Amino acid sequence: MKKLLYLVVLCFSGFGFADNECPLFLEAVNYYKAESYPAAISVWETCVQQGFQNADVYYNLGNAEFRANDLGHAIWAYESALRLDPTNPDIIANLEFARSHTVDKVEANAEDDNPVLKTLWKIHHALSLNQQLVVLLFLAWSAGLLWVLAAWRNNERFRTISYSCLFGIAFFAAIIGLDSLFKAWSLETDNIGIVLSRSADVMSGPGDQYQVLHELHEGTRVEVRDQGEGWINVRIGENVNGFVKADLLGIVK
Amino acid sequence: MKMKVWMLILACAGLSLARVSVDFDKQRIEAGKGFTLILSLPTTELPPNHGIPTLDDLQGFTLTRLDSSDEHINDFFRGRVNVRRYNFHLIAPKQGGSYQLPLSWELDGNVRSLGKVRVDVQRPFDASALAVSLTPSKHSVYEGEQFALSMTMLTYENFQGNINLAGIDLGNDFVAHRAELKAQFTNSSRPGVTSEATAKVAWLSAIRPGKLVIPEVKIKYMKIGEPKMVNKKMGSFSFSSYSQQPEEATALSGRVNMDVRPLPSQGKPADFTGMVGQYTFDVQPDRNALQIGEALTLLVHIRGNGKPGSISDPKFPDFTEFRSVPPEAQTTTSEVNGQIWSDRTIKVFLYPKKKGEFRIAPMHYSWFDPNKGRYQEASSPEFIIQVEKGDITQAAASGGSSYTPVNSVEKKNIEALGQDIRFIHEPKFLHNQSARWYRSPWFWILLLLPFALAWFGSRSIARRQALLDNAAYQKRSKAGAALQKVWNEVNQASNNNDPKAMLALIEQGLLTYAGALYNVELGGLTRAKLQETLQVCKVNAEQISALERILDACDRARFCPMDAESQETKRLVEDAQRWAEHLGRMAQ
Repeated sequence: MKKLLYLVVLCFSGFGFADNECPLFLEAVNYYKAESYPAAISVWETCVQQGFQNADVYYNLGNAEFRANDLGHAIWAYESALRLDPTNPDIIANLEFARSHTVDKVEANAEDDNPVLKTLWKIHHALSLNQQLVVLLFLAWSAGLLWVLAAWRNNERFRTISYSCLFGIAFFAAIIGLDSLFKAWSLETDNIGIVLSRSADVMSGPGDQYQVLHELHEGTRVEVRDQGEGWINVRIGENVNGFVKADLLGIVK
Repeated sequence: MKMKVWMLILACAGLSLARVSVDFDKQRIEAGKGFTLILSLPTTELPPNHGIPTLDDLQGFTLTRLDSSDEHINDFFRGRVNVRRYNFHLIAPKQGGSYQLPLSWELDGNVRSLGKVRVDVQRPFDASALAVSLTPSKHSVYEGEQFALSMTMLTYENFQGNINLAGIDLGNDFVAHRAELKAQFTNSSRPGVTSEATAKVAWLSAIRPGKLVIPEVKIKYMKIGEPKMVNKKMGSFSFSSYSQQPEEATALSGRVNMDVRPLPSQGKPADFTGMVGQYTFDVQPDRNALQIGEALTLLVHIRGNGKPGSISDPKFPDFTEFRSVPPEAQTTTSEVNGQIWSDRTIKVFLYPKKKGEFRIAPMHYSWFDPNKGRYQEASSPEFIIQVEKGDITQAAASGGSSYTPVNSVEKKNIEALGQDIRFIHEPKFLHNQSARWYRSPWFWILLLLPFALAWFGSRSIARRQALLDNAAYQKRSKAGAALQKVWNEVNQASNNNDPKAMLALIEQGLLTYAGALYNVELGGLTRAKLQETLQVCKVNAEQISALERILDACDRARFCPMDAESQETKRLVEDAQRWAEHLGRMAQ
């Protein structure tokens, strides 16, 4: 089923939506296999910089950065990959593994411990946003077809069954639609940043003259609240809230 | 306030008969403003040999002019009296207060003292009632050094109250720690000043060297306003009175110039924290031995009197053997001996990754002491931490093994180890996933299109269903097929050489067909009624007459038998078919 969805997503990608290319992708794979990590990083980074967004490209870039001992960039690439493919077990595993090497220990969120929230979170991430939109399209066309069939077949029993199915489809579509809405809203509003340098000072204001509140280390994930000129307002839970120099953070878009 | 008129009756030995009176031209003498002191004496009591009265010590008053005149006045006791009047035109000093001006006069060749004239000089209503000045504890400081700023307030007689200190802006060149301004006013011994108060405004620290200026401070307050005459009317009776309302005023302090010196570069430590003052630095771990999964808290405490309310963190050593959460830090301030002392406590939580003996390297903290004029540094000792193996699950949760990059790329080996990243992906197809479909109009078109199509589809189906349910429509739709059947039967009758049946079929078939097309019953009608009915159905006259011709031909043939194969019969059949065809086209 998921493969079928991927196929549909693939078809949609070629229809009406911009599609860039990453022609040297497999060449970079060979560089990676030959342990020429900087060369592989260069190819995959070029693809990303040219606007080619693909979970596999980010994932491989993360692996190459990890091998090149650049933990911050590796975690940034894994986070970017996870945004595009939130259920991929390889991305999740490598991200967790990379995170285990960070210096800063960020407290786990409450939903990580709550089994109900954990299950809901899993369901929420079962499909990517585009996959959910394909499901919505499928449901819409099914509903349309069923509607026409119910009108066509002048049979009371058939009509009752059709309308029951339509109600079920509408209910299912509403859930997926709301979840998609939440995902789209998160995508538009939630920004996360990854510390790319060995360490980054969190200041009390957007300037060097302000007080240093905390010191973050490479690979630490922060919530980006606002972006100003040269400084980014970041937060980690309730403990850390301040400003970090923009060039020390990688923003996951 | 009504000004008192001071009269001096000076009895001198040589002037026993003389009666000198002193008066002013104004009830209220205001500082810095002009007035006239009038000295009057009856001319009959003035000795013939006399000089000019003089003010011996002006005490800040300015004598602009002195003139005299002889005038007649009406005295209550003596009636009309001639007096000599001397007018001293004076300008009051700018300082308010009570003055005693000595007056003397040369009479009969001797200078006689007439005593002292008391003049009360009051503050003008338009003058400020509050004077504010700022005073720093030091005028020359180092960059980052703390100094206090005090404010002195002097109130004058026209001051009413309501001092508002909000909105004091000390500029952008200083880090300021505001004091809770508690100004206690006390009576002042300064001339003209009714009360005074001095309080600390803030503790400041310059953020850059150079000639810096603390901007002027604005303070709002209320002062007594100038009396104004108000005309009042009560019925037909009108009168005027003086009314005095309080007015809002603003007092401005002067600017304060500060000489901020840069810190010396000589002896500056490489990791200088930027703090200037006297500091203490202390580091203590909460324990020296722990298990994997437990946390070690490193408590760092810094205290100093430099930049108020702000202390830089020390450079932490590399904690790569540990995982750490972002440190918790808290800064508090307290006033001790007129200075602001800042305390910063930093808690660093460290989680050991593996068992063994670990060393936390010494930490250093440097600052510049302005009293000694040199840089100071304090260091913590090295701490040795023993880590024992703890609960395995906790160890795993805290990130198990240390990071050692594995260069082998054999996928199965890596996965078997479970201690490295998973292998790269090699997909056959790559597609760009950047598109956010919900932003594309295509997505919304595709989403809404089925509903639009379904709506139109169901409507057309319903319409068709309604038509099927309509009897007239049914008859009409089947009319063509029924007529075709009639033509077949006509052919059959022709083949059987049965002209009567053939003509009857034509007549019946045409009427049935026309009736089905227009949903009317035409069978059994007279010609006149048939014509009328077809006219109502809007069949044109040419068609009606053509039908009548065919029906007449059928009638005639029925009574004059003819051959079914004859040309006449065939033409009749053709006419009937053409007519039916034409009617069918018209009815559409």
